[in-house]
Amino acid sequence: MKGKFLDFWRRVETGPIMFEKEYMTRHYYPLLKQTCEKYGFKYEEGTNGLPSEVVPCNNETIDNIWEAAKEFVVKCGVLCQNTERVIYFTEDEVNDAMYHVPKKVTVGSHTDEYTWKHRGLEDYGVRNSGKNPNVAMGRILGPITDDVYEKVGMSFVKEPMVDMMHFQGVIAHLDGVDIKPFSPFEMMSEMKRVSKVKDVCRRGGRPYLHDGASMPISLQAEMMGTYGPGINPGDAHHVYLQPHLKTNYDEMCRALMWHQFGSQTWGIGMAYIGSIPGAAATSAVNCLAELIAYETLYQPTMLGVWPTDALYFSNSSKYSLFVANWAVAAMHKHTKIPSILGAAWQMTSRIGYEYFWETAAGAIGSVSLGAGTSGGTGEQSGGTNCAAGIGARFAAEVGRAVGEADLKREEANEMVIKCLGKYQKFINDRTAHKMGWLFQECYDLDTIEPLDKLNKVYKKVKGEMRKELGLRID
Amino acid sequence: MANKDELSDNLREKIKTFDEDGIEAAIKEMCDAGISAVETVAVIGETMNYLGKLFEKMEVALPELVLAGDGVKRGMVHIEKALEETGEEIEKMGTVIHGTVQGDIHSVGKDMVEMFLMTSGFDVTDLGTDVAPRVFIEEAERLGADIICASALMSTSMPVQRDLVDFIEAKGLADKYKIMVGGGPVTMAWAERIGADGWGKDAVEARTMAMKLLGKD
Repeated sequence: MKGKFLDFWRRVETGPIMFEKEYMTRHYYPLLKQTCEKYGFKYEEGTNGLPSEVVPCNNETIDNIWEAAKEFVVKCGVLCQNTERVIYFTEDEVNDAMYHVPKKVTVGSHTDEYTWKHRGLEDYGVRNSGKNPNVAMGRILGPITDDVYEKVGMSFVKEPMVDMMHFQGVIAHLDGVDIKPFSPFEMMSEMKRVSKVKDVCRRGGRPYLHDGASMPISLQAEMMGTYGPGINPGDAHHVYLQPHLKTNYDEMCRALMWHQFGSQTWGIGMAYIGSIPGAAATSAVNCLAELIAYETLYQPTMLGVWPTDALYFSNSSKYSLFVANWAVAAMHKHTKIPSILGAAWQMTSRIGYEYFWETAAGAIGSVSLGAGTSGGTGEQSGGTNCAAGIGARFAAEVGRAVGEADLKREEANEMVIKCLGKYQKFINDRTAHKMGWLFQECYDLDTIEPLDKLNKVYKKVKGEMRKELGLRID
Repeated sequence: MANKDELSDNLREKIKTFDEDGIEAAIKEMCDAGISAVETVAVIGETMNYLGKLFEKMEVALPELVLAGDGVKRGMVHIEKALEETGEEIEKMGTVIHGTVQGDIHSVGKDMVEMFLMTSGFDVTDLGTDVAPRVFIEEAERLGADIICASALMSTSMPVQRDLVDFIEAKGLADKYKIMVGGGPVTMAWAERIGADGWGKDAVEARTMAMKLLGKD
């Protein structure tokens, strides 16, 4: 399929004209709703107010959502916001694209190289390997202040279970200037971010550790970060599909740039649940449709899932996990894509008790469905200085325990529901973001080690997981 | 000819089914039938409020609300005409202009805020994304806004919110408008630092803050 996307791109100049508002209100959403209804895909809750099947167990329903999402991509297409034309694909083109998805991905390089492949549902590879079944990602997202920037980064680099990183902490202020998009200062800030991150990796003895930073910056600033002693060939860049099946020239330029650079690229299935794609069921179809559209339009080498609640920003809520898990399950069952970077990417609460439970909920579901683990960032990724390596470690440990237990999806589903029981109420009452600690409140800033109070909570949650979930986590 | 209750029920039904054309037609019918514009606006307000509650429960999606809102906006032409003729006055919750600041093309959070404000009775104009401070001011002047809302979804676009506040002060308009800022990385501390009047953590809080700023809470 390589190179084929150029044929699709040409359609931004020739496809049917549709204004963005018309696309959203009269095309995209009605089609999404109809398709979801046609395939009978629903979100259902038990009497406890939690989803009855947050980890997909029913293979027939997984097949249904897969067909629904493919059909939706074909019928809806992708809107180009610049030309206000829709790129349509045929069913055969989508099927071809799914057949030709990358089968493995290698990130990092030299001694920090890491390769992973496809894993199916309940497919844990070699048992008791002492290793997480597949790819553990650490993620720093949100603003990080200059005084702790390197320390937060080092807290992840020091975690041996972390296979790859997303160093996405934005430098918001530099040399007396607040950074603004498209300014020369933005370029300077990206140069500084890359040099800081690389310096931390070198000092941590992992000079070529993969950085998949998805910086919310202009392409020109991203390009500036690649020059000189900039990013490594083993790093990756985000090629964006705008939420809800849209693209534009800028995103296409990013994709072209990183493809010609020979860089690894990644994309994420999204859905702002409760907004444009509606509730959880339609959002799940949308999220999966975005993964399919990504591989058809850009062919990134790796995929992730990042649905969030739009009413109270959460990537670990009952709705978010439902959406992410169904999209992952269908993509893994029907393609040979390397393990998707699974949910949750950032927790709703700050670093603490609920943060660990949110991390566990994401990791249990993801790993049982063949995805990798993610973790580290808290406070809805909006709070300042709320990321720590211990979260990524914990996610990887949960993933390893799931693999070693050879967990069936039904068991995983029960466990995730129990995990949700620990924190969903704080998402419902919109107080989760106030719980827990910031990095500087729970790490020793000299040694970059978790303080005793954090270690106690970390161990407490593990103990409760053993007792209440029956998951043997060390 | 249908009576007032039937026409009101028809308007409610058109709004609840997001029938943009039907909403405008139903409003026109009520105005043509000589039903007080105040009463028509009350039906609209009560039904949009009902949809807003469904939206909060995710039983209605944002694109559906947009259709309903557009229908109401189109219908307002008939209401304004009727008001002119009768000399009646309707109490408005307030006029809000809202956009995502220059350099930032994120739109979902902005759209959410607008839906919450609209269903609570505010007259909301969406300026879109990547909006320069100058455009915020020009549109606020043109539309007679009460509140200027500026969203920033990236920490690198937050300084443009500060630019907006600076521009408004430089033009001597600080007393004329309430300025609200919001977006994922935007905090109350930032809002205070740049001199904004209000901040909403998310769409729900933005609505509360807008009502508070205009003394409608």
